[in-house]
Amino acid sequence: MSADQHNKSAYQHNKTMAATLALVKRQNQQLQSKTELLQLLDKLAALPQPLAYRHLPLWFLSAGLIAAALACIWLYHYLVELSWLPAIGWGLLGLSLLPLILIGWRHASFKKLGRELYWQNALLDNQLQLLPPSRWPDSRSWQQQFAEFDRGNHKREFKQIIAGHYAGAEHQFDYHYWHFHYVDRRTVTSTNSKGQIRTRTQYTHYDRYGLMLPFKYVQSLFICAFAPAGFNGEKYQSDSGRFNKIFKVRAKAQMQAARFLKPAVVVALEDLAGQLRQLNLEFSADGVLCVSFADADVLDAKPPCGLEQLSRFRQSIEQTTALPKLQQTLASIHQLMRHSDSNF
Amino acid sequence: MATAIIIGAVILLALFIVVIYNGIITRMNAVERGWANVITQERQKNKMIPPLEQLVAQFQVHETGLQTQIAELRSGIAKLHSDNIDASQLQQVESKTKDLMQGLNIAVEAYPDLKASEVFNNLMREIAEQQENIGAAIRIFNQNVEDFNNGIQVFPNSLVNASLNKKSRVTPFHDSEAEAGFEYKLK
Repeated sequence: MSADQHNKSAYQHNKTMAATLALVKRQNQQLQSKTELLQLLDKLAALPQPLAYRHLPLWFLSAGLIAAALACIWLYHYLVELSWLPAIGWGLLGLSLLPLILIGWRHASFKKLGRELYWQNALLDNQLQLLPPSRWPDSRSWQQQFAEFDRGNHKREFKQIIAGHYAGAEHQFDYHYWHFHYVDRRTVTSTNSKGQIRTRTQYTHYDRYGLMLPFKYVQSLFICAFAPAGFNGEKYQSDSGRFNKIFKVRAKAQMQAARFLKPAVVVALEDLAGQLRQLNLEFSADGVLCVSFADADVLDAKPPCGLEQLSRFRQSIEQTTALPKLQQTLASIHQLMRHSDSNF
Repeated sequence: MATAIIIGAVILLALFIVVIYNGIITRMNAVERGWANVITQERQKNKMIPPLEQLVAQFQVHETGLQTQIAELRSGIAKLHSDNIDASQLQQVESKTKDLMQGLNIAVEAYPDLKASEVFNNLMREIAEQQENIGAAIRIFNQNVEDFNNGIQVFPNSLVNASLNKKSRVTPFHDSEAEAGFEYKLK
């Protein structure tokens, strides 16, 4: 095959591949079942394997441009002193970066698509559904209902809400996983070496993650390892020194806290606090539980390989993908329900 | 100047000793509170004994010796005192509970009507949850004991305890039946 034919076939291959990847990316966001996901992978399997862009012409182009740039600089120094030669050389060197940037961008978006497909698979396996903002529950009422969201003096917003369902041995419930972002603004004053006072505004960004679910057995109770501004009520201390070091408890009435914090519940919360950083549990007055934490990796699912090893990738998709941190958290909540309900 | 430094150092030392002294007292109180919690959880079983007796009588379960096991458990619980940390008595009650649970499981196999009874199943669930609470209360007690023992044994707390508090090490609760299954023994 001649170089020209090779370039043409690489161009055609890359064009087909980019179009297929764009289609897969679009359809991935509307997937309803695992079968649909596997059908998407079939579209990728129809492309020549191993799945990868053909970047050889771009590498050659970049190398050619670098060689031309070096030649211009060499000519200027050793043969002809034309003043515009160095400018041409630097210009060519700059142009040689463009193919490299394109290679890097394609590589990154290809990897990203693999991660997105695998994450979608993890959501499907765990009966989770990423909700578009139009289908979100009333997050404004959440902010009014829970002191947890009384954070950030500049900005407060929900970034993501995912709906899920948990079926335990004794209880089952629907829940929402949320990602809350808030920004604190503060003015910092500093004095430089000349004694001039400078004032600037500093913005600090924070993220909290959590679950929202119905929990009718307890009301108006806040168990908190990372207190927000509106943290108040009657104080309560459990019998466990470790628990009291991790959590502060506030309730509308101490009796509610005493009734809920049975030894098995205390121990379950100590264990859960070992898994999740800055764990808070806030029970609203109308029987809704807001569990919150600082861990961003509760829904993390990393694929064992990329799309370039498509058959291995497909095998990993066909198996059930566990989200151990989420399952552990939900099992702990189920345990709290089991110990709070009445058996008679 | 030197006198002021000496007086300052003495005040700091006195404060340091007071903090350690109070820390030991606080930890001892936590141990006692943890123990009282274990006893409270054990006594919660008393609530379940009358309905259990009623069920056993209703289904005429005689041959398994359940009545005797229930009576033994009741008398064992009565002997527990929250003001006296007596791990051996607690161990006996736990052992009697295990016997009763085994007896109930045997009875269930022999009496299918009992297995089908909703009241019995609810009662079994309640007993299982109560056992979980007792296990958790024992874990909390043992954690508090560990904190207390560390608090009197590490230096310089050991000096303050030997001269002022004069508290002895508290033995954590060990389940000898469970330990019997392990080759490794804590000495």
